Amino acid sequence: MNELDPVIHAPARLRIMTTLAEVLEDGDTITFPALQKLLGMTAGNLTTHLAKLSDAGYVEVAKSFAGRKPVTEITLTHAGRGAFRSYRSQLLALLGGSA
Amino acid sequence: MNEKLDAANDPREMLDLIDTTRREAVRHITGRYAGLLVLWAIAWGVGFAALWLTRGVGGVDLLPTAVGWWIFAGALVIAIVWSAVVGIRAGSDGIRGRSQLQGALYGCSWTIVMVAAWALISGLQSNGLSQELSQLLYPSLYIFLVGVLYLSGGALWRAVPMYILGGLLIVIAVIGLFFGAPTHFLVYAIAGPVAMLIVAALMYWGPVAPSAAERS
Repeated sequence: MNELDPVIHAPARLRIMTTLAEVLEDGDTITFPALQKLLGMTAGNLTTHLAKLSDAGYVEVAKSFAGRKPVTEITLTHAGRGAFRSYRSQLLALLGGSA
Repeated sequence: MNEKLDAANDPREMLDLIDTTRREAVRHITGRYAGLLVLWAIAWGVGFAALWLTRGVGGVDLLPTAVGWWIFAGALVIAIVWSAVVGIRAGSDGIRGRSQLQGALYGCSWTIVMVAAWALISGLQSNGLSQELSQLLYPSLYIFLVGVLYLSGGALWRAVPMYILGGLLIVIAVIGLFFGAPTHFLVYAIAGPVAMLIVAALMYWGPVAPSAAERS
């Protein structure tokens, strides 16, 4: 059994990945405040974990402006969706093996 | 998320965390639709019950004709306005992209279908459809079409409770029609809200449908 993906294998990032995989279809984005509301995390905490997920190429964080208002939009990449899927299968396999 | 949770990384706990997180996300998004369905159940129950109790329309001579129709129309208008409010709020969910277009097109199909149904029956009336048959056809056609729209919505979003409601509404529309006027108002007043409340409960407390990530 390969080691579990350390980028996802942390509760805060697992919650982020699970929520993104659940609410976003391919090609969808979610704004930072909306994601923050769904997760109930502090802005600082969410930013830190999103940075780690972004470094791994699992999410893309795009900053733009709507008029003068800055907008941050997050999307789950194909690699991210795939990584989440295999992480989940690995968990299931681990539990199936130990049961 | 706190440090204590960060330290927990037992596979079983992580799998449970996936499940609770998904449930929270789904509840956050669909919770407002379950609430909306409860409102529709009330509006529908009150509206059709009022028609059933209306002189010259329903089976019981309790309400003056105009009052019955006003209650029915008022209940529906409140529910429609509230649906629009919920729809607009959903638009500010912060999710954009493909599913936003999907939702917008689906919303439009409700307007198209509802207006077209009214035009269809008007066409039949101008070709001699009697008042009695119109009273039978209007509610049953509308309930049938709402059922069809729920079927397609359920299929689009893989929302099984929504799909079930669509099927139930179609069955209720057909059965009510066979009861004939004015008993169909009573059938709709009872069966419709019961179906909606059951489905609202399923939406809120029922199992979460498998997501794309799990269908591998």
